[in-house]
Amino acid sequence: MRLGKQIITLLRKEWLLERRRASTLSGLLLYVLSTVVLVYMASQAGKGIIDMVWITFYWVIMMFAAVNGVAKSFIQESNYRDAYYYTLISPQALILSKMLYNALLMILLSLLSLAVLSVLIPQDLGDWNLFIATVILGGVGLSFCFTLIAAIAARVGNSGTMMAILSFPIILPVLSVLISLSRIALVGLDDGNMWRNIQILLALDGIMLVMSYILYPFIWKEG
Amino acid sequence: MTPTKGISPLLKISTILLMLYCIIAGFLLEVPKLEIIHESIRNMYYHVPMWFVMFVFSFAGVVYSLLYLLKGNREYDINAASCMLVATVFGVLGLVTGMIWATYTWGEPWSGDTKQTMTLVCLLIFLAYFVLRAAIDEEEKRAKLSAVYSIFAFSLIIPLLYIIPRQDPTSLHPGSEGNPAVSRDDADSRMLMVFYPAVIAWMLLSVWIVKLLNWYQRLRLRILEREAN
Repeated sequence: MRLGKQIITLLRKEWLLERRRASTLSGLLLYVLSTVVLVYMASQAGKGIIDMVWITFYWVIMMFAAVNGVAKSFIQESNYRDAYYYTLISPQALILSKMLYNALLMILLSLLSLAVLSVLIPQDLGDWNLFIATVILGGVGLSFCFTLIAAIAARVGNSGTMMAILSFPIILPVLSVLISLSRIALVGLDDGNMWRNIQILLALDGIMLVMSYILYPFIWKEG
Repeated sequence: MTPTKGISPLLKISTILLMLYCIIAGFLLEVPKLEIIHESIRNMYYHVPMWFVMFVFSFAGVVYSLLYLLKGNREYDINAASCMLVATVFGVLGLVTGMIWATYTWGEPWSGDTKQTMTLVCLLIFLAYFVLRAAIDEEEKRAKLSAVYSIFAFSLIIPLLYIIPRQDPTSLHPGSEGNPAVSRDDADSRMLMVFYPAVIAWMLLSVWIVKLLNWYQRLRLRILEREAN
C-alpha cells in the first residue's frame, strides 16, 4: 500500500527533524513545566487548587501546550520544501502523518504534564484509570483538531495569533466532553454518561480524521 | 447590474407585508395568560425565528462553501460569506432577545443554560471565520481556506448543537424531552397563527439581506478589478 508506506516515511522524517532540532520538543516540555510551576506559585503552593479547579487548570495548560505544539508542525515547513513535497507524495499521506505524529506527541506531553502536576499539586481522583484514559483520548482529540487548523493558519500571515483565534472555538466541543469525563473520573462514580461521552469523543475524533483527509487536498497548494 | 435587479418585487412585497403582520399581530393579538411568562411569550415570534435563521443560514453558508470547493465558482464564495454574515447578525440578535427574555422569566440574563453556551460557541466560530477572511488578501486563497474552515468547524459543532443539548435534562429551554421546537399540542393555536408567518417573514427578510450583500460584494470586486487594470 503506497499511502501506508508514505505515512511511515513521513513519520520517520518528523521524528528525525524533532531529534535534530532538539529545541522544539524540549521547548514544549519547558513550556508545560513552567506553566505548572506558575499555577503552583500563584495558588499558594497549590492549596487553592482542588477538584474541578485542578481539572480545569490541567485542561487549560494542555490546550495551550497543544496549540503551541501543533502549530509548529506546518509553520516550520518552508515554502520551498512544500513545493518539493508536491512532487513526491499525496496530500492525504502528508496530513495523516502529521496528525498521527502530533497525536503521539500530545499523548506523551499530556501524560508528562499530568505527572508533573500531580507531583506538585497532589489531587485525589476517584478513578485514575478513567482519568488517564481521558487524558490519552484528549491528547488525540486536541492534536487531530489542531492539525488541520495549523495547516490553515500557516497559510495566513501572523499565524501564531491566527492559530489561537481559529482553534479555540472549534476545540470547545471536544473540551466539553473531556471535562465531563474528567468530572466522572474525579467523583469516581459513573453517572450513566461515561460510555456515551466516550462514544461522542471517539466519534469526534473520527469526524476530524475523515474531514482532514477530505479537506486538506483542497488547501495544500495554497502558498 | 442595477441595485434592485435580481431581487424580485414579489419577495420584497411579501416580506414587507409578513413583517408588518408579524409586528402588529405579534404585539396586539391575544396570548394565553400563563404564570411567570405572561405577555413575554410574544418574544416567541422574534427570538425563535431568529434562532431558526441563524441555523438555516449557517447551514446554507456551509453548503455554499462545499459547492465552492467542488466547483470553484466565485459566486458560491460570495454567497457563503453573505449567508454567514446574516447567520452571525441573527445569532447575536437571537442571543440578545433571549437574554432579555431570560431576565424576566429565568431571573437573570445569563444562567449558563446549555443552549446559551452553545450559541455563544457558534458565534465565536462565525467571528473566527470572518477574522480569517479579513486576514487574507488574495481572493482565491481566501475563498478556499475559509471554505475549508467553515466545513471543518460545522462538522464538529453538529454533535455539540444537536446531540448534547437536546439530551441535557438541566436545560432551561423547553423541549429537552426530545422535541426542540413548538409542537401542535403545547402551543396555543392563536399563537401559531402568528408564529408560522413570523418564521417565514424573518426567513424572507434574511434572503433579501443576503441578496443585497451579494450584490454589494460583486460591485466591490468589480471596482477592485477595474482599479487593477
